[in-house]
Amino acid sequence: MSEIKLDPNKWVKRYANYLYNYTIVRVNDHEVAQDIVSETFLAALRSKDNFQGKSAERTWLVAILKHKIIDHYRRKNSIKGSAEVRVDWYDEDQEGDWLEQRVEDERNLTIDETIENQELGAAILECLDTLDEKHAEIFRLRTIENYETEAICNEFNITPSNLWVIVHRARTAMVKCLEKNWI
Amino acid sequence: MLRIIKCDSACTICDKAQYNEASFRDKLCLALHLVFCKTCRDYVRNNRKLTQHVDSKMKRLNAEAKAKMQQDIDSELNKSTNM
Repeated sequence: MSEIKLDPNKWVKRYANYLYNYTIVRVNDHEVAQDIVSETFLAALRSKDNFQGKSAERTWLVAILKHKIIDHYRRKNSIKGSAEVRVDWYDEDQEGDWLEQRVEDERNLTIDETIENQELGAAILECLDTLDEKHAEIFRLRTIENYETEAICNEFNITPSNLWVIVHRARTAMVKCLEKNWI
Repeated sequence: MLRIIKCDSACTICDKAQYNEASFRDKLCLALHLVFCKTCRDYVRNNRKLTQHVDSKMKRLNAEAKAKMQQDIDSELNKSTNM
């Protein structure tokens, strides 16, 4: 396999919606999610010399994004800590080892719909990760990033019928993976 | 005119229809095929459901937000080339 090269000029077009969705199911705030995606692109640019070409561009960006999401929760936690005038607001043995769980939940968790929405959104993204890399990429570009069929064919150097075969396989795999998550 | 199509063509038409890329005639052929074919009926049902779920759950950033991100990337790229 040839070494993967980064192409920062296409990042927004190729990954912005995907990364945004990845973030929104984890932070549940439009503005914050948008900022985190932005920060991720900039952080990626600054460390692009460290990219070794061993993983796909998307995987690499997601790894950086995960750090940015954790940073966001850390920041939020420290703000909360200082506002509480040093009351010990969690014990070590308290439930919730993850930073995310220690942050006060702003969502109204009694609304089942919110949870369902987020779970299904997360499930779609998770299922995408179980697909063959190329199939996932093409399905993602066509379905989430809204690329035109022709644009994908040009970029991947495939014919429209190749594309539809790939889309078909991806959709079949997605349905199979998602079946347990939908009603 | 309407023609009899096989399952693989039926699936392709259904896939294209999820992206509004199937012609009216193709869709008629698909409808005819579905009358006889239970397997494809199931595929069509699940495929539509997938489209609905993706449409309702996957959010898209507006053009403005994307333009802003692109701008930030461009200026960061310029910064590094000018150094």
